[in-house]
Formats: sequence, C-alpha cells, structure tokens
Amino acid sequence: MRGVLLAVALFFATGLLQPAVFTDAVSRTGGYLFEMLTVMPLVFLFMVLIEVWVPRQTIVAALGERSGFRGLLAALAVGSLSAGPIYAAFPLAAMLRDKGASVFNVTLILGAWAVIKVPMLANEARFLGGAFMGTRWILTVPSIILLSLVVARLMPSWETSDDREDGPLAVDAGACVGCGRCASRFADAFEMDGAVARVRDEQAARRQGGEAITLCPVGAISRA
Amino acid sequence: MVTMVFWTAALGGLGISVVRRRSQTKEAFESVFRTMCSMAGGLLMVLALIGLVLAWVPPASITGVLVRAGTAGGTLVAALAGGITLIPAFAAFPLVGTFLEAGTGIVPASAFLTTLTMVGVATFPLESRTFGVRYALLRNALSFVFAVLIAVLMGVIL
Repeated sequence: MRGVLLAVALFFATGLLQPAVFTDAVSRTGGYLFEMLTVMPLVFLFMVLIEVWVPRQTIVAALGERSGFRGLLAALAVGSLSAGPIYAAFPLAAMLRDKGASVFNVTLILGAWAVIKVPMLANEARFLGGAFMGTRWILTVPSIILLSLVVARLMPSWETSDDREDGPLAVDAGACVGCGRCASRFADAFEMDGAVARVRDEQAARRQGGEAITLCPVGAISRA
Repeated sequence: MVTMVFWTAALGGLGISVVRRRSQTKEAFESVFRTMCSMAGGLLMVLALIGLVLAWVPPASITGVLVRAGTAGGTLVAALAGGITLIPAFAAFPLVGTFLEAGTGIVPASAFLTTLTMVGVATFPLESRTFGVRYALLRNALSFVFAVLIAVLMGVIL
C-alpha cells in the first residue's frame, strides 16, 4: 500500500515538473502492462494444466534432485519456449519448485526463460545480425548451465534458503483463504479446521519450515 | 505465430481439463489465481516505477556515454544500465542496434543486452519474495558476472 502511494506521488510530481516525461512514463508503463497482460494469462493457463494433469511424482522425476541430465534438458525446454519477461516465469518456476524441482533446474528454467527466447531469435538476427545472435546464443547456453550449477552448489536445497531460525510455525487464520495446499502437501503438519488451516503437529511443521511458508499463496504461514 | 500455437494448446488443454476433470480444474484455477494475485500487486508497482525511471533517463540517452567511454568504462555503464532496465525483448534489439550504429563497441553493446535479459534489479523484490533473498542475490550477482564475461568474449570473437 505504501508502495502504491509512493508510485502515485512520484508520477504526480513528474507530471507537475516535466509533463513530457510524465507522458513518456505513462506510455512506457502502459506498454509494460500490455506485455504483462499478453504473457501472464498464458502462464496462468499452463500452471493450471500442470496442476491438474502433472502429478508431483512426474515433476520430481523430471526436474527433481535426481533428474540428472534429463532434468537439465527438461529445464532448458521449459525455459526456452518463452518470449516473455523473466518475471512471468517466477510463478511457474515457484510452482515447479513446490512440486519438487531442484534448485539447479529451477535456476536453469529462469535462465533459459530470460535469455534463450527461441521465438525471438529471428528478431534478434534481423536487428543485430546473424553472427551476433549466433555467438551470443552459443556463449549463453553453457553459461546458464554453469551458473545454475554454481547456484545449486552454493545453495543445495530450497529449505535452507532464508528461515534459519527454528521457531514454531503458525497459520494466520485471518489471511488464510482455505485453499488447502498446506494441509494436502504437508498432511502431517497442517490440517483444515473448517474453512481455515491450522498447525496440526508442531514438530512436523517445524521440519517443513521454509517450504510451507513459500507454499502458501497468500503468505498466511509464518514463524510465530 | 508461436504465441498462437501456445494459446491453442493452452485453451485446448483447458477445454479437455474442464470436461474430464472438472472439479480439479476449478480448484487449480482458484489456487493459481490466488498465487498470481498475490504477485500481481508488487509487480504492477515495479512496472510503474521502472516506466517512470526510464522516462526520466531513457536507455537511448546513454548512447553518447557508451560511445565516449571506451571499452572498460562503457561496458560497466552498459552492464549496470542493462541490469536495472526492463524493456520488452522486441524493443531491446533495435535499441542495441542503435548503440552499435552510433559507434558503441561490441563489448558494451553486448553487455547491455546480456545484463538486460539475465539480471533484474527491477524484478529483484518480486524474485526475493518468491524464492528468498539469498537465492535472488545469488542468481542476480552470478548472472551479472556471467553476462559481462559473455560480452567480453563476444568482443574477442566478433
């Protein structure tokens, strides 16, 4: 909310000081919104399809810790199909992470999504020349693989990401929307109490830690 | 063209899902929708702010700086500018083309393009909220390093 006020205030100030800049800013932001609206619904639909049709075991097998070289190829495939901005990949990558994709593969998906852009290659060649495009491509693909390896080496698992403290978890009943993901994914730790979730077993919840916190789509789970 | 293929596949898939697994599809729809909504707010703000920043300092305005700065300085400026900039891919290529035509070296021009796509200072808040601060820092910092390396190598090769 505070951010929104800040943004509005800055736009307003710009409008007063430099109307031409204001118009440019509005048109740029409009362009970004347009781009977002053309990409996000597609990402949304694919996330729904994955949620409905692709069981967790398949994702773990294809993109999990032990997926090996096949996982690498799968990650590259997922990422390369996009032409959208990298932020469009975040919800999709996060969902795959929640379903068992490894740090390496998620990072590779993000990297591939950002730079490979198969649909955009022709465009790049047109403006910058085939040699430029080809060279960049040949250098970038191994780079993102290497980069993902380094990230995975430095951060071997998702759970060790942020919440190092071992505090007890709690569900904010006011924020909870009753989607049931926590209760179905971590059935030993959470359970549904009518329309909201609650911690069922302190120990089990503590063990799930960070994963449960990031799993909740509305952020109702946190360290008490 | 490619988007059409994706849309057809997505909508077709959705149709099948609604027919074969109706309630599951409905639940999935709601769940994904909530996730998207919680991300949307922060994202919209970032887009607005970046639009404003780039209106004040348009990427094209650094062309002069890039041409004058020489390889090392120019690469640094280009890499930093690319990191904070957020523009659609189809707009990025003509822009880099402009840099090259104006006399920017291959290395700074490539550095701008590689950091533009690989590093996201603008998207950092969203990324750290989704994957954790440590992860976001790691990925972006390493991407910056690799992006500059790629640019340097492009200068050597091309």
